[in-house]
Amino acid sequence: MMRFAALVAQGAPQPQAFAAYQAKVGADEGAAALRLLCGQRPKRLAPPVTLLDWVATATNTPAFLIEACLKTCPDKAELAALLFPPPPKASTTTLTEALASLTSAAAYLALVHTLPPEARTIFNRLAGGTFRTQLAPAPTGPQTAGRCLAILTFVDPSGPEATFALPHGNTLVPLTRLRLTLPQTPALLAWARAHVADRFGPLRQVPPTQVFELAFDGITPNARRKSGIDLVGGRVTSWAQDVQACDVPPLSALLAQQT
Amino acid sequence: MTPAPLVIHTPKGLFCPDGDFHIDPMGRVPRALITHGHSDHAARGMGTYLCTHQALPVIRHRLGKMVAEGIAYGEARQIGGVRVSFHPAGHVPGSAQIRIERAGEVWVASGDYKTAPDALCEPFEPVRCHTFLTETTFGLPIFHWQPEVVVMRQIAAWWQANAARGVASVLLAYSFGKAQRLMAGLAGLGPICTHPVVEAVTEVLRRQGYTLPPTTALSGTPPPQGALVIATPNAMASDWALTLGPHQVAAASGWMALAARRKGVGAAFVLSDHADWAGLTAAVAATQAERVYTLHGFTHPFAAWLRAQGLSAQALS
Repeated sequence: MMRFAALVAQGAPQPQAFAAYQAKVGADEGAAALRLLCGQRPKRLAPPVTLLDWVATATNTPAFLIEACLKTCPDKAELAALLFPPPPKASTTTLTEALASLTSAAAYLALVHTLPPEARTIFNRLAGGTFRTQLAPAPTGPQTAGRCLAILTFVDPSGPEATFALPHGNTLVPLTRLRLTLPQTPALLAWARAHVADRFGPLRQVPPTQVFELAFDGITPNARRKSGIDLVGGRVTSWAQDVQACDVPPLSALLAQQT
Repeated sequence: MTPAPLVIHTPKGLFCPDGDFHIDPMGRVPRALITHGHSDHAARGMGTYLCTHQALPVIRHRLGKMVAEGIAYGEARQIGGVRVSFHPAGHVPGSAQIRIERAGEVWVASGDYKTAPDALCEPFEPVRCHTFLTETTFGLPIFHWQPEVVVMRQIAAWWQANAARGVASVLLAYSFGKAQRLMAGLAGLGPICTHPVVEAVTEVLRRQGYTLPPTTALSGTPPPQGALVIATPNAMASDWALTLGPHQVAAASGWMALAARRKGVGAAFVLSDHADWAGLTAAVAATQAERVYTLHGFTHPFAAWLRAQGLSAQALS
């Protein structure tokens, strides 16, 4: 958690800084950090004002002092970090452990005061749903090229275009919309016509059963996407009819390999 | 009937009517008792000055020609109708709290103070009193200092990392007090250079007998490889900074606890010459004062906090 806090202390980290960070932490923490920096925020534990209330109660700080502190430190996540005295000993809590404690007020309070102040502020932003830092786009262009499996969710026969998604928890998160240029496109459109689940203008929603292999030149963060990323140079390379939708690796696996 | 107050707050600063003297006045007065040599406490133009022997050389260095007298820590002196003595405040070398007694009633004006010890100055001594006038520069419960050794270790690590890259480390600090505290806390780790203004004050303190490591004043010459340079923020805005070569800048101040204050400096270290929240509350408790007046900084919230603890407390500014 301290390394992650240091990584994002000055705002959007450069890809080199992220690579250096990743070399120091375990694979789990590296993957978790990448998801956060690509805009995949954890479910918020409570709004910042509630976190501040919890901390005020835990530190016996009366409301009039909180009011006075807010005038000097208007950032509630930072204020909730500064109200505790420094931790008596160095913390070894990892980012993954910190994220795992975002389950209850008790678990949050048990951890937050053990972190050093700068790590507490970042932890509070994660807990309060206000963490916004993203990887700085590499100025030299997209990062790593690759291929992935994705599930067909919508077809637009007028393009023809298709929307692909990846599993994320119990849901599917849209990943990209691509032009259909495969030789099997007529067969695919025929399948879609026969399996329309819903219509949205020209868009046909289809059951999430068909798996495709996609290739791309790189991934860049984009906070406005549900997935947190844009695929750069994406194209459909094959209809993976031998793969079940349930065997498609989740979004987190794609994010983790992009380093 | 309530006795007349021993100290009152006036536009020129704190005034003791029974002793006919001011404490740290900012307007011209005939007689000034000075807690320490920082410019917001020791100003030019007073008829006479009284401060500790340890504070006097720096005050003379900064104010020039003056009628001044030194007094030992703990030495009692009758001034008019009151007995006065100076007691260590732990803020900068020579800094003092001023104790004023009249017929068994004791008031203490804290000046600036720091309860935690450091590598340089006379450690803070709590003084029992009935009325305590305390500074509250950092009087909010968001200010918690780490022990000095912890912060010095952080600064040393930053310095060493810069040195390994062949870059000088420039630490911004007030020329009296913080600058010398930093060199004392970082002694022996590598070459330490100074801006001439810092060097002049350092030399005054050295001649007084304060133990400070050797330093080299930089006047137009670049610092040696791997050096730490201690300079004032003003110096970094002058042409002098152009001679430093490749360097990193860091600030060392209690305000660096706040993210908004850390913006724009390469590195920031939370190191203050003032008491933090715990230091202020402990100092007030140690005086056993029944009444507290607050001045400087967060006077109103700190006074409100003391009232919530059952004390009589009031903000003076």
